[in-house]
Amino acid sequence: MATLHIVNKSPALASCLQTAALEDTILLIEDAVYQASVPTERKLLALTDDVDARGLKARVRRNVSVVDYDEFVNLVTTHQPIVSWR
Amino acid sequence: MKLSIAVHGAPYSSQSSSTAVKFAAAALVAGHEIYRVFFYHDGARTPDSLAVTPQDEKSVLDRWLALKQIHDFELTVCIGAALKRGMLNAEESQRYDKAAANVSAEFEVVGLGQLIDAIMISDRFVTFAA
Amino acid sequence: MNGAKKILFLLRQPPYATSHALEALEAALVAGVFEQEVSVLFKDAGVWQLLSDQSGDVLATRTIGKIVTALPEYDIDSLYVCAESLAERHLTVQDLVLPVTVVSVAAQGDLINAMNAVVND
Repeated sequence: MATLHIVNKSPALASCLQTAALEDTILLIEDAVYQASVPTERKLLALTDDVDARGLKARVRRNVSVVDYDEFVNLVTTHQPIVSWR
Repeated sequence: MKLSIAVHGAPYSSQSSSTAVKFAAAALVAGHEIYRVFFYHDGARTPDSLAVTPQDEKSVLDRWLALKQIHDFELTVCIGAALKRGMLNAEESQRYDKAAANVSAEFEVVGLGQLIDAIMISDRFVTFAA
Repeated sequence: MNGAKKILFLLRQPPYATSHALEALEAALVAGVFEQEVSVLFKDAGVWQLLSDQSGDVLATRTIGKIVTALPEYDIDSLYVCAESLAERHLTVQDLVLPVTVVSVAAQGDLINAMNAVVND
């Protein structure tokens, strides 16, 4: 089962990207969703409430998928372990 | 699944608690069990019953308490992290002869063993970082 | 111990400016007391926790380096440090307060994935 990486601050994404295995999932939440609006080589997920609150809905890049809390819960059940990056 | 959650951020200096309570609510609606929520580091400030929330905002503490009323799960705060940050329940307030107690009654003040127990018992452990 | 979980403590915060390092290490020691399979990975600014010659008393607080050296006494022997994080900070293993296994970033994804749970500082 792949690892779920939850990144909540933009500066932490770099370290997470270096470390995460190719098959792992990276979810941006809180302030890290700002990174969804800049080019990214890797496919990322971003939490919808945080994207919408920050006015980023139209600025999310093509290889970023926006997910809601139900999908967030699902990600937790389908990955192990879960690591947070701040 | 049995889930446990750690919250590391304090209200206002972090979005941690707010994200965590929304996650917890979604997990419970999906039929999962929340074994324990463990408030650590600055998250220990969460159960401050002395906090007065501005009228146009929703208190994250109230949201945790409302969720606990519908689905019974453990809201715990680390005693070490709590005491040093001035978060005391009635028992600790009396023990240390302090002027007041402020930890919300719905929160249990516990040792770090409860964090490790939560990890041992749960299928998944998620941290909401500060 | 049967049924012990593989728990990784991922320590990325520097010591002293906040209590994150201290509180995370205290949790790791408790995990050791509970006889879990504990690993610790010091990464990014967390590698500063390993530096020798720390003196917490100057700041009226506990010396983080001393707490780190207590980890093996609680049977926590799987101590890892990120190679790249050391190099960025011009540190070598000679500068560290106890022997640790150096792991490159390329190996850390798998190290993490082998765990049942990760505790963040």
